[in-house]
Amino acid sequence: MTGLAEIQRAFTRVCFDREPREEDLALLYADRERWLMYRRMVRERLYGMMRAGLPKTAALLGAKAFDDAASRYLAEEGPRSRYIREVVPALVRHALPRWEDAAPAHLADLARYEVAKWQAASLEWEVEDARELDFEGVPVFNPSLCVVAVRYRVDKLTESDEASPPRLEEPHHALVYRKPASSRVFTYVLNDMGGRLVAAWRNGGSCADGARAVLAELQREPDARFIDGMAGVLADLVEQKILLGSRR
Amino acid sequence: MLAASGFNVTKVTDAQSSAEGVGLGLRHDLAEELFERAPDEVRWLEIHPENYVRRGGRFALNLERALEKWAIVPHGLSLCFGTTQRFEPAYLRQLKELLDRVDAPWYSDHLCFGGSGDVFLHDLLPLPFVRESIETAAARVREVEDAIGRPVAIENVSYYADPAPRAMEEPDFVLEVLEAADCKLLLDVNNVFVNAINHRFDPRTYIDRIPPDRVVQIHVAGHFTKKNGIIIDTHGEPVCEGVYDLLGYTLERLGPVPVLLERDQNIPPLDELLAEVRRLTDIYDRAMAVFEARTAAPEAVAP
Repeated sequence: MTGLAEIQRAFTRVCFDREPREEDLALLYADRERWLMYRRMVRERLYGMMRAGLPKTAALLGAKAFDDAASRYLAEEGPRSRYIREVVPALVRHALPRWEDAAPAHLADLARYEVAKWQAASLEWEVEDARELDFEGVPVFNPSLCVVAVRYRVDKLTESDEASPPRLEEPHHALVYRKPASSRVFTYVLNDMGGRLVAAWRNGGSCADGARAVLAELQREPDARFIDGMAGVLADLVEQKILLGSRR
Repeated sequence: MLAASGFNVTKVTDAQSSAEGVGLGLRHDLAEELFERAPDEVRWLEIHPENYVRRGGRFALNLERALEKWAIVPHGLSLCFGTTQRFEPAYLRQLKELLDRVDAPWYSDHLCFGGSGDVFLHDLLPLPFVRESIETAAARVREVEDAIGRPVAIENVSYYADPAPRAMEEPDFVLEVLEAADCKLLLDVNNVFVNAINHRFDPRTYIDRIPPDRVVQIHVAGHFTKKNGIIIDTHGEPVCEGVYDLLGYTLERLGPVPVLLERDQNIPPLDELLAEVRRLTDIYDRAMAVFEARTAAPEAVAP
């Protein structure tokens, strides 16, 4: 008789292969139609979760193309986490190499942005104790923060928008986050300079270290325009509860 | 040093302290209304730990609010006891943290398999009713019990096909796992009903064979009948008359075991679910009267 592990491998292939193989169905004992029914049920549950996490991406792609991407993900990789919600980012990671150059042009940005919203909605709120923000101190960021670089304002799209929004002249950065003790997800968009500063500040040094790193990267002096812009970003980040203060 | 979470879960003293009577699954579609109305007919809540382990946002907030009024009973979806590999210790540690936080009386999961290797199917697939499945399930149950430090209950699942020739029938299989693992049973009465129709056996005969001292919890749910007559355990329909009848029969035999109404699909307005909860409570109360009369009878006639 076939061993338990082999039955489980065969059934997993029946569910996730692009087309179930007859030799796997033959390995299973009962009516093949029942196993195909199981295949449909397993796939429908996973497709449903992916659509729930990526509603605008799914609408933009259309049902057939979205299901093709989901089917390819299941066949080539499959869910590797016991948390079913993880199929949403896993699908996007798997499909992005093809979506980056696909039409419409904002598809990849939209998918990344929806994943950020999906993840920010339920990231654990585990945060270092923070004091008031100090420019020489190490900043403490909101633990639900997910940052996505975008070339299109996908945060402004509705599910019925079909046309690509205009391409931005420089990369922007969508900061996706929850506020403390809230379950609502917010988005705050920064331009390229603001995004570079946030990335540098999240690297572990002080705000001053981060600012110096960005200036060095851009081979730029700390002129009044830079300092005013940075001060404005810091004030906004604190007001929006994206930046919670400095490390004690 | 890490500060306390912004969504600390603290058990308050006036919350229902244990799961008794009829409970409801905590579903986010209904959570807000459930918390606002806090209906007394819902005596306890069931959660799926996978939705709460290391998770913030509305999940953590909902759990915090649920603990203010109700006892919480966890019911897992992903530690399928027919899994041939050992479970990840990291997840078992995280699970234990959650179970400690909610003061879980036991932990239940399914007597099935849910994938292969490191690939998860995220569904409940049938085990063959053979010795290897029994040994595997007993090993996994002991592994979980050791890790979480509290009783483990296996749930009998609905199944639509046998993956291998049967060495025994389903009740024998479930009883052998209970014995081999020395564990508890979450008796899903709807699954017994569904399997009885699909595989043509008498559900009461199945119930009669269940050792009452093993049963810590009961599930009831609705199911869907396909055109070809096969019944699918969807948790997406109201509970049917046959399941209500079988529940009454089961409770009369087992005595006071907490009953959970499962509803995971096509979730109706809360009032509809509460009507089902009230009907289940009526059945529960009538069954307890029968159970108590029966168990008290020997004393009454004693000289």
